Amino acid sequence: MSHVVTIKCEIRDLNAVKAACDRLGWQFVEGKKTFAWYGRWVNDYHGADAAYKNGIDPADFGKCTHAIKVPGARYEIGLVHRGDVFIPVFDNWASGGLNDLTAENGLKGFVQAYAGAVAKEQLQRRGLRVTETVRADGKLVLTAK
Amino acid sequence: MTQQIEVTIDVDGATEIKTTGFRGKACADATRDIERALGVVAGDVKTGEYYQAPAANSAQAKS
Repeated sequence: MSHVVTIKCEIRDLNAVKAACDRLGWQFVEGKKTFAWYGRWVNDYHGADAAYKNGIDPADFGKCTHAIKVPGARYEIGLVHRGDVFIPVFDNWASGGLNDLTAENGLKGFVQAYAGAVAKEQLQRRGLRVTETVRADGKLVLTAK
Repeated sequence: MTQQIEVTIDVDGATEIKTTGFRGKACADATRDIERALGVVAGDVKTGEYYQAPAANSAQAKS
């Protein structure tokens, strides 16, 4: 080996967002400025990933730059543009159908699929041949030569 | 050794990029654009090959 780098993924590339949605069977709604949620902030979630702890003002809940519809869910994921990144924001109340999306599972595979699309495009841009595998531990591995 | 880039992505999106077969700083050059496109570098470990001089091209003109 010559070099090992670890990276915290940030969502910036809308083409990769679209590719990730396609891979998961989700619908990317470009330009939708609101996302479906309970409609009123009740201040009942205080996890480290709570939106109000991560730069999203509760007065702006429900507003976004683009939205994602997840099959079977009433609520939607909003992509909020901050600087050059998009922050996924959603209401995790159980009846909304998004309560199984967590930071630990990368929003049920969305972040993994996004990073995979970004990495694949970058590797192919260098003229490399890319193969993809999913390991038993759930990790996505792209190998390029 | 064949040059190879391996990108491993965990379910939460945490990503590791490994390069093999590169000598000197060529490995960093090979992954810089990928790193920037993915997000923020959280760690960087250079291994033995990184500190080797790049292989020199040898072409001898016969007199």
